[in-house]
Amino acid sequence: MRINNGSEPVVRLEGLTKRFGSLTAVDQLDLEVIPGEVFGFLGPNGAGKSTTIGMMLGLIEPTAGSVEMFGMDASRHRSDVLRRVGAIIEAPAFYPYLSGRDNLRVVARYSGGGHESQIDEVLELVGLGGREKDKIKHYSTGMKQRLGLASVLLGEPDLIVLDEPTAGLDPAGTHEFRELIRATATESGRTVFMSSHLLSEVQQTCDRVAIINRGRTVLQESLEDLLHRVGGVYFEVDDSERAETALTAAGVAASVGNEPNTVWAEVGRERIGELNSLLVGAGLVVSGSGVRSSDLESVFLEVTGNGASKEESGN
Amino acid sequence: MLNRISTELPTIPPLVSIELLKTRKRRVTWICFGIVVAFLAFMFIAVRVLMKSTAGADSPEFMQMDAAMRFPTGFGFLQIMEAQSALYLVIVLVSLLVGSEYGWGTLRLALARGPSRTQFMLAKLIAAMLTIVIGTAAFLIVGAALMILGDLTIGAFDPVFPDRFWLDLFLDWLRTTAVLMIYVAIAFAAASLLRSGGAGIGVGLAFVVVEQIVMNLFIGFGGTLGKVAQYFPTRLTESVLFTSRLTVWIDVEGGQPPPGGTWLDPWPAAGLLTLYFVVLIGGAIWVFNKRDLTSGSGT
Repeated sequence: MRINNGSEPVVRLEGLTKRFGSLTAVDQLDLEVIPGEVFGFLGPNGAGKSTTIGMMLGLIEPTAGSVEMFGMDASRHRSDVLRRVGAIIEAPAFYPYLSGRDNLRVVARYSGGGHESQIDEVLELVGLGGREKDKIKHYSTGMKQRLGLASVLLGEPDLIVLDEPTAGLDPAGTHEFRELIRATATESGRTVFMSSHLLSEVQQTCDRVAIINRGRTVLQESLEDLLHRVGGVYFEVDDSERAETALTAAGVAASVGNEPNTVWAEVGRERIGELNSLLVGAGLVVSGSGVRSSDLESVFLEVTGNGASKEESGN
Repeated sequence: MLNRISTELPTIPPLVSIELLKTRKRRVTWICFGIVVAFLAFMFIAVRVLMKSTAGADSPEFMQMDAAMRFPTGFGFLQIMEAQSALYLVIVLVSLLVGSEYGWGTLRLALARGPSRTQFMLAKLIAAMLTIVIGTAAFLIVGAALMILGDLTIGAFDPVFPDRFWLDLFLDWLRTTAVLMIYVAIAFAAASLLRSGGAGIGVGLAFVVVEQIVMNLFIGFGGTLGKVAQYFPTRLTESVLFTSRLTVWIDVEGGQPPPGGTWLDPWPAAGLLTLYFVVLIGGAIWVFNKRDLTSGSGT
């Protein structure tokens, strides 16, 4: 029943809305995930990320809107859709009294069976070979995360959904897990949908991102375009308003900065010298200049209003 | 509807096998089993040996107890013990089977892999019922072994089997096991509605205790309230069980209704217990299907 032809979105959310009483956790959310990409789903705490993932996986009933996965309505073809998905929702959850192997056996049977022969293979892949007989209660957080990834890979899912996958890991564990995710996507060509509030993690792992805030999509584009677009330079001048006028007159998108006597120009760093001459030529005193950091953090803070969000009960 | 059933049912056996695996590997299962074995060993061996040495082999007290605990008459005694005490273990085991998923967060793991919520719950129910069937059978087997051991210990092994003994034993096991299913349903509903194994145990046990108190009060008041008491689950299970041929045979409260109150006949009582079972299980599954599984729900 695989109808994915490689061009249609693996995930398409349209007008997705969830209200818990008077609280709107997700509000008219639109989103598309393209086959084969690592998609970052970003938002501050309480923005609606986990609620959105819960609706994608059929754990939470949407108040309105639709979830389409692999071209199928996820609510009508729930089992068919979910058998092609591997997911970790927040922390990986396992039965503490079962061994790692038995836990994977459980997951394989939940997925309809038929994947138990892959257990050894996925355990080796995530570096847990030799520890599969240990009970989960003796696993470290990092080992549980690896087992979570192993469970996700069982059955060779077309889509991997990871909700805050590195929560609770130390920096070394985070790095290792990120590499595993990236390798999984690159080597198998699977689509990865990853929610996180760790900007560095998304920046280092993802191809495309969506940022949501207060349950709404505020931005969705490729990471490369995004970082390029938001780059810019600034000048410290004696009169920022005159500087803005001069730059605008020269065809440069410019704006007065929040800091005193600062003007921003949305251009690359290679034009600093040119614009400096332009401002000096316009009779302005330029006392300094610099490049605006074009990392994801600055974008995130900009589009989410410094990361502020509301509390969300369902998240 | 039929189409839906035909597509959903084949996927349930693998889910049942998961639940049985979890039950087998869970420590509390074996703790419960150990408690039962220890209790039976105490009753069938220690008490008999102690009473023989203290009261004497010819004393009426010892002879009465010895008669009730010999192989195979002791099966009647076993059946009474099972009917009166197994329900507590049933409530503990079923509550943990259903409610502990919430505490570990594994519920979302399971449902995110494809099975429907109805399949998931039905698999748990079937596994719980199978566990009780296996458990009651094991209870009889272990009890028989301890009866024989007790007989051998005091030098009284001399089994005599009445007519139809094995058929009666089977039918009584079936009947006792069947009425325990109402407690499966009570624990199942309590644990799933309250989203916790511990809460399921607490409410299940509290229900049994409170029901007993209220039932006895109603019977004491008589009249309409006395008649209402005959519809209480425990009273209904007693209605089904008091005609047990084994307990009649060993003459331990068997064959006669316990004193006080009114009783339904066994078949109407069994029908009503079945209705309660369906309502409790159906309600629990319906609520579970309607519920959002957010992290805020304790999952």
